[in-house]
Amino acid sequence: MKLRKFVNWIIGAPSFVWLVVFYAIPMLLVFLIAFKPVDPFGGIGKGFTMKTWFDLGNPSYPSIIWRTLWQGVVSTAVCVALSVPISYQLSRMNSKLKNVFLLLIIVPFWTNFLIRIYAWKMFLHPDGAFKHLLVFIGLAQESTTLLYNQWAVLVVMIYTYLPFAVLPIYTAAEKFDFSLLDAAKDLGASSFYAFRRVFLPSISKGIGTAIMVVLIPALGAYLIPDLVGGPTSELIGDKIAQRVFVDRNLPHASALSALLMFVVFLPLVLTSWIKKIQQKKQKSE
Amino acid sequence: MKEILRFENITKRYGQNTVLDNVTLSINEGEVFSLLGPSGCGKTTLLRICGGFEVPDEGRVILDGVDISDLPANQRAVRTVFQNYALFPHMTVWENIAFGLKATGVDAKTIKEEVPKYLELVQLTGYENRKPGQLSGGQRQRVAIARALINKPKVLLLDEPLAALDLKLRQRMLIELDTIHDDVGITFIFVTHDQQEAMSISDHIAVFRAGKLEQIGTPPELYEAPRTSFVAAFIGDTNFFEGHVASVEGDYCKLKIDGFPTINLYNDKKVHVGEKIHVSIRPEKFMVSLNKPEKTDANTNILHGKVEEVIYLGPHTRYWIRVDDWRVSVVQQHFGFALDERRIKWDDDVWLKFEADNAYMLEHYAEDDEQLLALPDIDETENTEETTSEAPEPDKTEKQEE
Repeated sequence: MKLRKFVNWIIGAPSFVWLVVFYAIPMLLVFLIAFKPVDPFGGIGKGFTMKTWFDLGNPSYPSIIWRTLWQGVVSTAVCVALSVPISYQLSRMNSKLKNVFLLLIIVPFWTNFLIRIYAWKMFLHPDGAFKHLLVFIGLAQESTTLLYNQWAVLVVMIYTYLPFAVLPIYTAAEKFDFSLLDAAKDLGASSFYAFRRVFLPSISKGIGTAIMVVLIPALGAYLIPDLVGGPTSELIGDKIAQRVFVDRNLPHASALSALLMFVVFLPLVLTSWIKKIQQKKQKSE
Repeated sequence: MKEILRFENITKRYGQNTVLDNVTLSINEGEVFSLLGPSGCGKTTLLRICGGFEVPDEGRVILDGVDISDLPANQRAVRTVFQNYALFPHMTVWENIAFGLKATGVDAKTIKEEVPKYLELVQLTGYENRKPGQLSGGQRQRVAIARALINKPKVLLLDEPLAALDLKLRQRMLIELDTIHDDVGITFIFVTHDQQEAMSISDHIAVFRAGKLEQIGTPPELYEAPRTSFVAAFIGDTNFFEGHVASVEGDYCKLKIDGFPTINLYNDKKVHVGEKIHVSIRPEKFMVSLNKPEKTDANTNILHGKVEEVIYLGPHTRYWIRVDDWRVSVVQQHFGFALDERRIKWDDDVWLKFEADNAYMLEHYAEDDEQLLALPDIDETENTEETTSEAPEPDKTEKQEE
């Protein structure tokens, strides 16, 4: 047993070291820098101060944070809502067709992220073919702008994060025993009832993973709003980038990052806490 | 007796392959009806057609006088116990059993009253908070049965319900199934490839082969009066003889068999002189003795042979006895035991006696069916999925090559 523990430790050590050096320490640094004053040349000053934290009271922030949350939640919800039927169909396909479709989902990853966003920019451009088509059909006026607003940001975010949501949900659906749906229908359940009460709970872990994998980067997104968004669709990620590159105010950027992290962690901690309570309740029953 | 379910001219094809070929059968209310046959004979497809999971290419399904052929699965008053049980793994036993009521919109109060009744019926009271993963195979099976019965279906379909259990448990569950059937009185349709299971539980059995209905009957009818060599060989063990009718005297006839003594037969098929016929004689119908036995009546057959093999099996002994050019399979029940008894041994000269009424003429004979006659040491307890194809080549009744 002792040997086994030792071997486990040896195997786990590299990833542990990796996590500490490249994840935990930088995170701590971010927190620490938030308590430092800024120095006139864009560096970090000496001593400690709480001033940066008070600066977060900037009146433009609440609406930006609200928009960030709202965009993140909506794009996550849409991604998951699209991924569930996609995964359902994928896992029922024969393996040949399945591989083709999985490939189609993965292929975009082989193209540079920036190039894909610029492709969207061209697609939604005021002089782009899509806009002209909409005008031609009569769905849009010549003056409509498809680009540089929060809807453009939302569409591109959903496009970008959809594969991240499909893959974990598909993995869960692939393991699902579809004869259970037959059983549910046999017991008198409608197709929708069977889907909701049997299929969805069975892939709930995949959905949970998908939510995390999409929501977290969506909250931190800054490239997409920067390129396809306008001044009214800034997200907190943009603000952090501005503080670093334009204002050269690292403490302020750190404080904002810390705030964002807090916003991300809070729901995670809350849900796991609620789950624990539920499990305890079940056990005591 | 009232008919509850009728299949009318059901035909089902998968591409070129005809899985069910014009099957018509009728099932009475309250009985246990078995669909028996080797795997791939179409019995499960028929069950799935009844459940609404497959659509037949031709034919109708009539439940309690109403054509349900076009109803979706969730609107049919039939319930299925699936072969793998298909319990919902994320639900507790209680939730699994209550599922059918919840899904059909039964109110919470009724559910609270009904579920404990069915838990008790399948003897799972106290297990309601367990998940299927925490149950044994037999317990899972019982959850599946309770879950299917709680909606009070008109017919319960059981798809190889015992196949996943080990032998001892299978026998216990068989008795339990029978008890549950007596308790609820619902019609059971039982799909199995195991003839012993079917024989022990059923009121009627329909024997299938390659998508066609071979014979329907009560277990004794199928065993004692098989229509075809397939039924005779698939249900139990038997000896096949081929011969020509030599003479007909009243209700009896004489059968001339090449390389075998001429035997007397009861002529229930009204055959004529010169006709070529096949007969099946069950191994236990022979009496084996060291001394020449007395004839019971004028038509009793007495044969003389030599013991080639003796297999002692506890309640009975199996002999293979050479009679002229043929090997005859014989089973003898042990009625009593005496230490000083002179037992029949290998190479003994023995006498075989059987009554003319106990040889049964077949309407249809196919030589391939002899492959179903498994060797005794393999046949007794084992029943693998492929009873047909894995049965070893028998040669006990085959005419020996010279």
